[in-house]
Amino acid sequence: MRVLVVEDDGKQGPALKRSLEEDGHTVDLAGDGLVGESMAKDGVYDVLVLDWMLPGKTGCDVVRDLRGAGVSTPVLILSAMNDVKHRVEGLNAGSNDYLGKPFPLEELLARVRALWHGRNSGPVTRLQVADMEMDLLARTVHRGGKRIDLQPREFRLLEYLMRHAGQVVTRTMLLEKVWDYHFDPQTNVIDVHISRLRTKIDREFGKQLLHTVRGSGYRLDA
Amino acid sequence: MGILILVYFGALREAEIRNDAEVRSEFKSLVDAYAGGGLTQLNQEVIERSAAPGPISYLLITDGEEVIGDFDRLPDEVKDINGPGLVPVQFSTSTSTEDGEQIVRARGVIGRVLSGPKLLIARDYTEARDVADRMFATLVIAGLSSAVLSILAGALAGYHAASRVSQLTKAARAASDGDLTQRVPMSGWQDEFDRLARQLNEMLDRLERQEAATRGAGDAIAHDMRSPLTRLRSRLEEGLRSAQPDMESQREALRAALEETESVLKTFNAIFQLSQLTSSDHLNAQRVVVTALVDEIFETYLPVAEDHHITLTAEIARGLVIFGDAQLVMQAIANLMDNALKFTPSGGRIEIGLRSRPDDFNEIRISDSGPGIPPEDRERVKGRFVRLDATRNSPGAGLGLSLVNAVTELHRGRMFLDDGIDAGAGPGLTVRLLLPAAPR
Repeated sequence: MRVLVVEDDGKQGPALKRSLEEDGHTVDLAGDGLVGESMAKDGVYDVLVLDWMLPGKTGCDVVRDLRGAGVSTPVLILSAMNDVKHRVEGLNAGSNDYLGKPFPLEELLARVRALWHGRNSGPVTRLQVADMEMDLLARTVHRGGKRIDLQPREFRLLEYLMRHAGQVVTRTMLLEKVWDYHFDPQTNVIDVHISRLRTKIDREFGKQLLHTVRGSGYRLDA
Repeated sequence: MGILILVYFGALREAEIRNDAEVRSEFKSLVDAYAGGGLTQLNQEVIERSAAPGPISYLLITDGEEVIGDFDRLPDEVKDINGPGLVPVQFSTSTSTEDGEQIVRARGVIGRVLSGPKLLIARDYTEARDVADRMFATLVIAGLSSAVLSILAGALAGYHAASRVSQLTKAARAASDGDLTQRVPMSGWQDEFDRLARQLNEMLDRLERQEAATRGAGDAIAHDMRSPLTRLRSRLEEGLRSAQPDMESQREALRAALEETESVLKTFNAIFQLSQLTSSDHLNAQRVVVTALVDEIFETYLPVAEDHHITLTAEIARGLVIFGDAQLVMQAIANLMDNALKFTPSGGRIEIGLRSRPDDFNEIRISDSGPGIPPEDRERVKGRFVRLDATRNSPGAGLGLSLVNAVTELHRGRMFLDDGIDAGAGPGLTVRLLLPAAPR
């Protein structure tokens, strides 16, 4: 997919560009808010990655004006201001995700992929991965025609994984999107819950769907 | 005082010497009169001289026991003489003056004039003695008053010194207790103490600057080290991505290095967050259903506790609301759960509770059956970067309680540490967070 990175840092900008390219994307790099905004308005990008602090215009203002101009391209804001207040401000401005600096590269790559994937996630009522089906209205999950009982949180965890099937989902993404924890617990909370979920959705069935991606996170995959 | 006595006797001796010299010279002149004009001449001289006013008295006793002069007989204190030579004498006598009877102390000599008549010449010594006595008195008064003055001055100086020393001590003690803002006031006397005070103040200024710099440096280090660490992580990530898939040992090494870097970065982020929390009193506060937060933590950590073979139970009052930052409060509770899980041995117990108190605080309580924290260390662990020896090997534990404390203080709440559940592994630990309840 085509990604526009707007980042003025002379080292981080090119590093992001290179990493995203290695991940299979076509990447353009801008170092100024106003330049980035006019490039984004061309509408040829699938995902925008905007640094908050930019010369010319802040990433936050760029998103607000892009949304005002009817540009709906998914936006990920990067910011050194890693607190709830700025996160809320960034999301209210119209961005789709917010990543505090410094971040692991895998985190950024996973979030860019997730944005692209989730761009058309309108109101869905059913999700399916291999022989596993989720009914979002009835709040039920079946695999191979067999009903799987899940706790509400397990349901939400599986829903998020199914919505991002085939992609790596990091622990931080799960903490933020499923738990709404914007901090790092010292305990391996996510691993324990994934392991519980895995027991329910995978153990009795021959083919494993929920995979651990070493050093990154998890992936639900056929 | 010794000098006073010396001066007194010196003066007295001087008076005696002068007195004696005068008396002897008088005696000699009468000897000359006798040698020149015989007894008649001597009689004449004695009568004339004793009639003349002056401090010298005369008494001439001839062989026929005829007495001429100032006295009608030899004074009682004077022993009669027989042999030749002059004998010094001292005696008291009363004379009548305008002021009435007066005792006079006289000092002089007695002797035979050329082996002839006996002659006593004495001089009123009272005056000389008085001078010495007055001098002595003056000296004593001067000495005493100077002694009193010097004692007073000493006491004053001592009081001054003592109060200055106590000011210095106070500032030094405050400094050693960590309060570098105290300064020693200057008296303006420009004395040793002012010099000392100035030096101490300068030292405190320097220390204070250094401490501020160090504190700032700690934050700055955390801040500045993040960038190179982030770059290091990127390098490792790139290395890992470009490493040949068949070189599994190489990939393993990179992965391990990456994990180490992650954990250092996490610590730095925690330091950074703590530093931000403690340096501001701004709170992004909203009405927060604290019941939901505690429920959430309980549900999230229940499977984790089960994995650790720890019994986690909850007693959560419904519908309690606080005014605060939900993320921070959640992080604080999660931190306490992390700690409880870390220190509670397998087979132990953890309780999480939420209740409303009559004093308008909502109390979040987490008790564990771990080793606990000794009472004397409980205040200390709330501070920044404090880690008890027993927990030295647990990464991140040093920031946990200080972060919880910072969050609590930011919410105008209070944090208490007490004994927890004793299940054989020690007294356990109970942490209670009291957060002000929001008005309903």
